[in-house]
Amino acid sequence: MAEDREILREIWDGRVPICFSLASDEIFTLEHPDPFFLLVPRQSYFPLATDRVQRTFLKHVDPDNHGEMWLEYESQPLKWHYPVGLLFDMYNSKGPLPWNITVHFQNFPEDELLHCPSRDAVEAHFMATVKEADSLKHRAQVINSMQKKDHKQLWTGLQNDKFDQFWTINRKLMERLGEEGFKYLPFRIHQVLPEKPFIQKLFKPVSDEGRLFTLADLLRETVPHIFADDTSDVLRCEVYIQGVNPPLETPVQWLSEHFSYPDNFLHIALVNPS
Amino acid sequence: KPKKSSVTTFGSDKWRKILLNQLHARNLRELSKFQHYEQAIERTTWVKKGKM
Repeated sequence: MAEDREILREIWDGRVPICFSLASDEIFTLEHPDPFFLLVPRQSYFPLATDRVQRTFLKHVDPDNHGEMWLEYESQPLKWHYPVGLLFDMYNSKGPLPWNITVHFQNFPEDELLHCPSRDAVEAHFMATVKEADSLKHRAQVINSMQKKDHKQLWTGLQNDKFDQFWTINRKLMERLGEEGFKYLPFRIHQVLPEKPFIQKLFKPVSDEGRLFTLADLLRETVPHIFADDTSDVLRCEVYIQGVNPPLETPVQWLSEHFSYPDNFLHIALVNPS
Repeated sequence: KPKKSSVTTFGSDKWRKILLNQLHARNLRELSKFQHYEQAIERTTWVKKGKM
């Protein structure tokens, strides 16, 4: 289970410095708004962190011609239902800081983004993902045994950036089945440039003989093309999880317990070397 | 029902030390120069005090 509090705390405390600017062709007022500088928690979602950005920039767009706010980085619309840290690793892991993001209220990219009508949509997406993760780990036994107030505490802990409130509940979701590990590993592999749909497969973190599978085992099984050859662990791309490049010998059971995002998935970003 | 594991091996593993160092470096790179930025999500708990 997730018992390494020092690691969990370092991950939780991760923040991304971001400069939000309103798209120049959408500025309607004579006065141009200043950019908005924020430290955004890596574990959170943009709609939970951008209320003030939205309120400020809305005053500068055409009141008769604007829609839902959406975010873009270098022509890439940013999916609000991905954690902020994952988006950063995918698109700006090697880029300059702060991360420069453009804010839009027009031309919503319907083909690329889901609509986010309210925080309730974020909560619904978050809880559905946590449930999917638990169905992989524990056949959904843990999440289904919890009370509604526990689900709420998990969500409010994330929403309000409260580590202890969140982990009091989340630690139950990280318990192993017996001594072995999770039934299957909740993971998603995100490939960037060219961007493809994420990869998600059934993968047992521990073999039937009790051997702990490593990150190298997981990547060889799911994305063998990223290895330079069949015998060495030389990679053609960089592997990011929570903003770092984990050693390939790290057991994936431990990674899942400690490096998963609050949605309980281990999100792995494959980034081409610059 | 899932049981707790008694296996605690993280303290002695080389990969764990590498990961912790990388996380420190990540937070140093992404935070040290930007401490003056506003927090997008305030952790402060507001407690109302009053007298009857």
